[in-house]
This record gives sequence, C-alpha cells and structure tokens, in this order.
Amino acid sequence: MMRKKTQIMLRWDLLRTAIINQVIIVFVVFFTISIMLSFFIISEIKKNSANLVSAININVEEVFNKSTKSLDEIYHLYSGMGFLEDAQKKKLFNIFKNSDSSIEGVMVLNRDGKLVDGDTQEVLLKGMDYSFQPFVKNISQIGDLYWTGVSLSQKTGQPTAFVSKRFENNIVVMQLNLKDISRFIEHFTLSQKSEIAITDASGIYLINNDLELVKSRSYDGYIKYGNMSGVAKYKNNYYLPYVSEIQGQGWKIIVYQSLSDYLGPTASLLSLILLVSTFLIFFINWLNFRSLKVITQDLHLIEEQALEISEGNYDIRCITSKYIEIDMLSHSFAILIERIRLREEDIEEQNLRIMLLNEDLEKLVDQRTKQLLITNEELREAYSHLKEVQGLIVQNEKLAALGQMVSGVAHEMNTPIGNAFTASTYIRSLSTELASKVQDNTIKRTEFLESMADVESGADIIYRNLLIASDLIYNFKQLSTDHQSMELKIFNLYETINNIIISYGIDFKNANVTFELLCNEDLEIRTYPGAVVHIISNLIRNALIHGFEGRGKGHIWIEVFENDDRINLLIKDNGNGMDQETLNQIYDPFFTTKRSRGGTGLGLNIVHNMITNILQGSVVCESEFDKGTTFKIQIPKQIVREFMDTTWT
Amino acid sequence: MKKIQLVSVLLLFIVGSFLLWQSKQPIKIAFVGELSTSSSQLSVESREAFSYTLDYYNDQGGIAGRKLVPYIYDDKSSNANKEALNQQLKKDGIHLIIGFNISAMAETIEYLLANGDYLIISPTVTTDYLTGKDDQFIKISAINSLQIDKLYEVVKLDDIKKMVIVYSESNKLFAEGLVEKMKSMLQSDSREVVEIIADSGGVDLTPIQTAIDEHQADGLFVIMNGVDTAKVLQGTRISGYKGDILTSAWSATSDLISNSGKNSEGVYTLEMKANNPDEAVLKTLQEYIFENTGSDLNFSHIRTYNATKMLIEVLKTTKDFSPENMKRKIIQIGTFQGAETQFKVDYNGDTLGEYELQQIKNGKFVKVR
Repeated sequence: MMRKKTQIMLRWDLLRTAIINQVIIVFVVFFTISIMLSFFIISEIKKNSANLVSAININVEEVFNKSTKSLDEIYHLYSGMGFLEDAQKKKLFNIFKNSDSSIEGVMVLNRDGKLVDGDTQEVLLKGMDYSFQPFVKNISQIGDLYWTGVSLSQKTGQPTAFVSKRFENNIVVMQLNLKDISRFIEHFTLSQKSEIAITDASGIYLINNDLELVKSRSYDGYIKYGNMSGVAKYKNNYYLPYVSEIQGQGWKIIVYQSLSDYLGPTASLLSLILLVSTFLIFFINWLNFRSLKVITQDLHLIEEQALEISEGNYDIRCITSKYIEIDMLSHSFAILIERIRLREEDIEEQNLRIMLLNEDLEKLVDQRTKQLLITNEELREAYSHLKEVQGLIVQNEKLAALGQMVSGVAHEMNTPIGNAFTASTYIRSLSTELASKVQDNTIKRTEFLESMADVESGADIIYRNLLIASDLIYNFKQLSTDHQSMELKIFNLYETINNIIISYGIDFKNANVTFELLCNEDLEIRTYPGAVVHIISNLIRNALIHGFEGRGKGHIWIEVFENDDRINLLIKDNGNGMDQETLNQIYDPFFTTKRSRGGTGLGLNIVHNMITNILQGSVVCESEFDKGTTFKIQIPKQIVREFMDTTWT
Repeated sequence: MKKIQLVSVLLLFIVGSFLLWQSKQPIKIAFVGELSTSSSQLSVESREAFSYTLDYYNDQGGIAGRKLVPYIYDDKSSNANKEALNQQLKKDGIHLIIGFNISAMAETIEYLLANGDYLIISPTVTTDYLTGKDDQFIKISAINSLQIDKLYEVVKLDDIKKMVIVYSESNKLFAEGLVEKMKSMLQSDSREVVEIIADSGGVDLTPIQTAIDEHQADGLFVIMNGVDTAKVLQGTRISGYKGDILTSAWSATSDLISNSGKNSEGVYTLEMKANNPDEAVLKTLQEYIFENTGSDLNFSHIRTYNATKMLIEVLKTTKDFSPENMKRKIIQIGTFQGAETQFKVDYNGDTLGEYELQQIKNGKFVKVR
C-alpha cells in the first residue's frame, strides 16, 4: 500500500507523543521547582542577612559603647593630669592609646576647638585650631557625641574616623582606625564572594571587606542611588543586598550575599534532577517501545491476513494476542472474513441471475428498437403530411380572408353602381321619351328644358357614384396588392388600418358594431404590410364573428402608440370576452369554438406566428368574460432582420 | 531558493542585531586620581564632580541613547603603578580618561600617552613640563607660571621683603616651576628668599619656623596639598607669625580650611579667573557636593566638571571615539563653556586662562583681585 508523506508508523507516533508529554511534564515540574526554590532561597538569604545584620549591629553598638566609654575615661584621665608635665601626660595618653589597637590618636580640645593636650604633642601643634572640623562643629551641647566620616591618617595612611564628645570644659576626640574596628566583620563573612559593609549616612564606606574602597572614600552605589530592592552587580558577581540602618548614627549596615554561593549548589541539584528525569524518560520509553513493538507485530499479522483475504483466501486462522483489544480485533476480523465469504457467494448467485435477466433484456430491447424504428417512420410520414395540410389550411385561410374582403368590397360597390345604374336607366327612358316628343314636335320649350335638367342631374348622380366606385376599386386594389405582398417596405400605418376598416364597412353595419381608430395619421413604419393587414383583419373578423354574438351591438377600438423604437397596437372590443380556459388555448393550433360553423382553429395561431416570427414582436391577450377582449401587440418600428421563410407568402 | 532567502534573512537579522547591540553599547569613561593616600582630598573631590557630571548626562539620555559608564582607578599618587594601571585600563577597554590631579603623576601620564591609546583630560595638573606638547593630553587648568604672576601682586602690594618658600617634594614637578619663578622674580626685585623642602605625610614644622624666625620673614609661600598646608598654617600662626601667607591653587581644597580653622584667615590662594559663569550649573553642582560631602564647591570640583563636560560635548559631535579623533575635535571646537568660565584650548591641548587671587575669609574662599 502507498503511504502518504504525512503518515507515520503508529509505534513511533505513540512513542513520540509519550516523550513529548513526559518532557512537558518534566519541564513544568522543573520550572515550578526552580521558581519555588528561587523564592525559598531568596527568602532564606534575606533571613540569613537579617540575622547577620542583627549580629553586626550588636558589635557596632559595642564599638560605640566602647568608644563612648573610652572618651569618658580619657576625660577623667585628663582631668586628673593638671599637675603633670607635658611629657608625662603624653606618656599616659600613649599608654591609654596602646591599650586599644583601634585607637590611633587622642586629643583634648578646649571649648573653642583648640588643641590643649594629646598623645602626640609637638610643641608647635599645641593650640592648633580644629574649630572648623566637623567633630567640633557638630557637638554644641555637653554630652553630645559625634562620629565623622572616613579620613585617612596622616601617619599611617589608613582609613580612620574621628569620634568626639563634648564635656563641660573640653572636647575629647579620638581618632579610630577603621581597619581595626572592622575586624569583627571578618567573623561574619559567609563566603569569599559575600560582602559586608558599613557606610555613613551618605553611603561612603566606613567598613568594608575591600579596604581600598574605604581608603578611597568610595560610595556604595546601591545606597547612593537609592535602589533598595532587586539585585546588585559588582565585579561580575550578582548579590542580593540587605540594608539596615544603625539607630542614632545614620550609619548603614549592608550585607551583600553572593547569589552564586546559593545558586551554584541549587543549579547542581536541579541539573541532577534533570539528568535523572532524562534517564527515567529514556528508560520508561524503552519499556513503552517494547510493548508497542508487540502490539504492532500483532497488527502487522492482521494486516498480512487482510492481504491474503484480498487475494481470495478465506481459510485463515485468527491470531491470538496477550492484549484483549488485539484479541477482540482478531476475533472481529474472523467474523468479518466469514461474512465476506457468505456475501461473495450471495453475489455470485445474484450475478448469475443478472446475467440471465440481461439476456432477456437484450432481446426485449431489440424488439422495442425495431418497433420504434417503425413508429419513427410513421411519425416522419405524419409530419410530412401535416406540413402539407398546414400549407393547405394557410392557403384556405388566405382564400377565406380574400373572400371576406371581396364580399365586403362587392357590397360597397353595389350602392354607387346601383345608383349609377338607376340614374342611367332614368336618363335613358327620359332621353327616349324626349327624343319621341322632339320627333313628334310635341314638346314645349319649357318641358324640354326641364327634361334636360333632369338628364343633367341624372348624369351628375352617375358621375358621383362612379367616382365613389372608382375610389373603392383603387383602395381594394391597393389592399389586395399589400395583402398579397410580403415585401419589406416603409408604409403609412394609419392608412393601412383605415383601408381595412373600410373593407369591413358592411360587416360592421350588419353586426351593428361601431368603430374607433386612434393613430397618428403620419405614422410610417418599416415592416411587412401584408402581415400587418392579415393580423388586423383576422382580429377584427374574430371580434365580429365571436365577440358580439347574441349582443345586437358593440364597439371596437384600435389604438396605436409609439414607444421609442417600438409600436404598441391595441385591438379592443367590449364583446363577450372569454373564460380563462379558452384564453389559455386561443393560440393553440386547431383550437376553435366554431368548428361546427366551419372554423379551422388556425386563425389566432397564424396571427401569433406572424407577430412573433415575421414582425419580430409580441402579443398578449387579456380577456374577461362578458366584458370584452384586448389584444396588446408590440412590434418594432423598423425591422432590421429580414424574414426568410416563404411559407407565409 | 527558499533556503537562500531564509539564510539571507537570518544573516540580515544577525548583522542588524549586532549593529543595534553595538550602537547601544555604553561608553566607558575612566577617572584616575589619587584616591587612597593621606593627601587624596583633591582627587576625592574631583571624583565627586566626575560622578555628578556623568550622572547628569546619563539622566539626559546619555550620548545618542548610550549610557556613560564610570570606571574609577586609584593611581595611589605613585608612578610605580603605571604599568599595572595601563594593563588594567586596557583590560577594561578604556580609551577616554578624566584625571590625574597632581603634576607629580606626569611620568605616568607620559607613559600612558606613549602609544596613543588614551585621551587624557586632566582637571588640575598644571605643570609646565607637560605644556606645549602636541600629544593627547588636555589640561583644563592654566599653566603654572601664571600662578606666580598673580601671587606676586601680593608680594608687591604688601612689599614682602623676605620670603620663605615651603614646598612638597612629593609633587616636585608642580612645585619646582613655581618655586623657580617666584625665586627669580623675588631676586630680580632684590627681595630675600629661602626655600625649604617638606615631605608630605609628616611635615616637620620646626625648620619652617626656624627659617621664619631666623630671617625675620614677612612672607610665607606654601606649595603643598591642602592638609599639609593647613598644618603649616596652624604651626606658624600658633608660633606667632603675622606675615602674609601665600599658597598655590593645589591647596585650595576644603581640607585647607577644615584643618586649619581660624588660622587660615587671610591666607592667599588662587583660582582660575571666572568669565561668563553658568550660574545654574554652579548652583546645582554646589547643592550636589554639599548634599554628598557636606563641603563647599571648590576649584577641583569645577575643573573636573569642566573637563568631563568638555569630553561629553565632544562625544556628541562624532561617532569616532578614538583618542586621536577626540583630540582633533577638541582642538577644532576650541572654546568650551565651563561651570564658572568660558575657556579656550590651544593647538597643544593647553587651556589658556588667567588666575585670580582669592583670600580665606570667615572660613570661605573669597575673590580678592
């Protein structure tokens, strides 16, 4: 079987899905543990730092207390020195100073800040003015204590700070070596990277593991820039700072715990967890792979059986598997095989039946085909005959129309010719009588003149009636010519319609029907006048025959409207109208309600065909029973496409 | 085809990212000074102003979005550290230096300038030894010899007949020029002069006092750092010396006043002449220094602000931060607005300017003439 590119082996897909799921689980667990561990570590570092700061604070307080005590002791010492020589005083001060390594110098100043005594009393320095020094300027009340920032010792170059206290008559100043003071922080150092520092209020280091920072009076950037949260970076190491202010001094203790000290072991632990997890994933999936291999082997056997079945071998035994699902699948497969086998037998039997039926069917089709051929031939002949009949009927229709027209014209001619005949008969008898009287000479002049007047009057009647007859003949000739003509030409529509009406004059009179024509007298159109005459004549004749039967009188309207390049022609009567059933069939060939009276049922069919085919227009008939009928005809003013069928000519 | 397009887009992304990363790289500026010696006040103050100026410009957005990162180095006032300092500067990728506060560091300055790797702008070094050289060393303070011209006005005004000159050997390069010129001028005016060398860190007052007493001196010229000068002031005043005391610009730090108390009253010292000061900057700088150190603004702060501002203003004008180009740009611009004055730098990178005389009155430096 061809495999699609997107298809993969079930075994690998299941394995891949399992691995992805396991990796996601491990990642989520690992991520959660990392976050929790980070929070825990930060919390522990802060706790640790807080404890450390508390411990340092205690030590710093000890330094303060000790210094305060030392200042008091110096003052007491100085107070009891009044009787001693300068050299002895210096010696005593030195003994005191040497008792504590952190004391670098001792000075006793007077109230104005001038040096009166100290440990190194050069003669010329006694009286030196320290009044502008902060350790003097910043203690105005007795008992005030002041710590300066860092300065470097002139003697040792080491960082020092001055602490001073104002007494009743003096100010005692000690210069303290910050390096010695800071020794206590060495005990608190957690690791090589972690830092402990003490700064003054402005952030300048007083105590720091890195003495150079103290000596250079550097600022602690973390405190200087007021960033009291987050992580600090110093010399490519990251630190978590913890700051605490020493009460009363404004000094700040800051502990920088190196994050790498904590993160290193944590990272190792997490790496181990990750390694073990990875190993477990591999191991579990190796087991999964083995199980999947067994399943896919069973499925492969089933697949091979399916191939054999496809080749028609149904004698296959079901496989057995340790997996229930596979076993059930195999069992279902066996049932399927059995059912397929039975169905195949059934299909063979059905096929045999179908074959027999096919043979019967073929015979039947042959018979039917032959019958159809005969029927077709008969139909072809019937159609041919029908065409001939249609031609005859059309011809009959034409003749009928012509007969109608001739009858009408004859009737019209009858009156003037009759009148002329009467007048001529009268003139003849008058002239005979006049001739006899003239020959007998029995006529009087007055009688002769009266007789001549009668002759003139009779001649005038003959002339006028012959003139009427002449006009009628001309019109008839004209109508007859167009009626027979299927020539495309330009003609006056008004005159054409008017002539038709005239030709029907006697019929209107007999039927007591009045007539009304509404049309632009100058309207000229280019179409087939023969068709127009035939259509209008036919519709008028239909109205006269069917429309007013049993009514005694009626009215016909012919209205012509121009609509751009088209003509709308309405032929309307107020006669009997038609019911809907009749209306639906009027154009059907051979449909007539007057067959008993010689109707062919082709009149309106021909009208419809002439309108739609020859005149390239359309016709709609609207009729209401007992109210009348209206034919709405629309034809083009100018026919462009010439009609080629000669059947209608 | 698709692979080529993908690789091209990837390469463009990588190059673009690199360029963007590089364009946002911070600019390293070093401060080098004498930070951990007993006479380090001058450099400590200088460093304060350096930090202030960088912070100020970083708050304004840095240079085209690039932050200015300070690197602080301690020269320990010793030329013995010059190689180690050079190595450290190279390791840190430094090319632009604000610093060296005393002329005694001229040897180190020359050593660093030798290979053209650095542009050094010194706020306070004035030695004539490093003056008039076409190197990548810019001096913000006017040259030494001009100090004597100004101080000599006091000599003439008070008609000092006998002058004792005390100077520190530790900053010999700075002091010698002053001493020689003062001696020369005094001698040419037939005035008596005695010179005494005193070591920094342990000034012995006895020979100074002895010289004053022996020569009945009415003038004392001290060329030492602020702390040592203060000690000399205290000692001589306590001993009863009433004559004029003149000091160099070097000692005009807060140390001088705080360490000498009222004995510093009336002492003459120097500062560069102010011309068209920027009052707003002076006020802000003064507030910053007072808040952070509790001391008043002095020449070291101002000179360092001027030096750092000058460097930053030039950085704004170019993308080529090489020392050579930076020097060229400084010379091209020529005139800079400092905190207290407008100053000009000549072709050799020496600032042209005048000093003005100031006197300590009520614990403050006050301009006299």
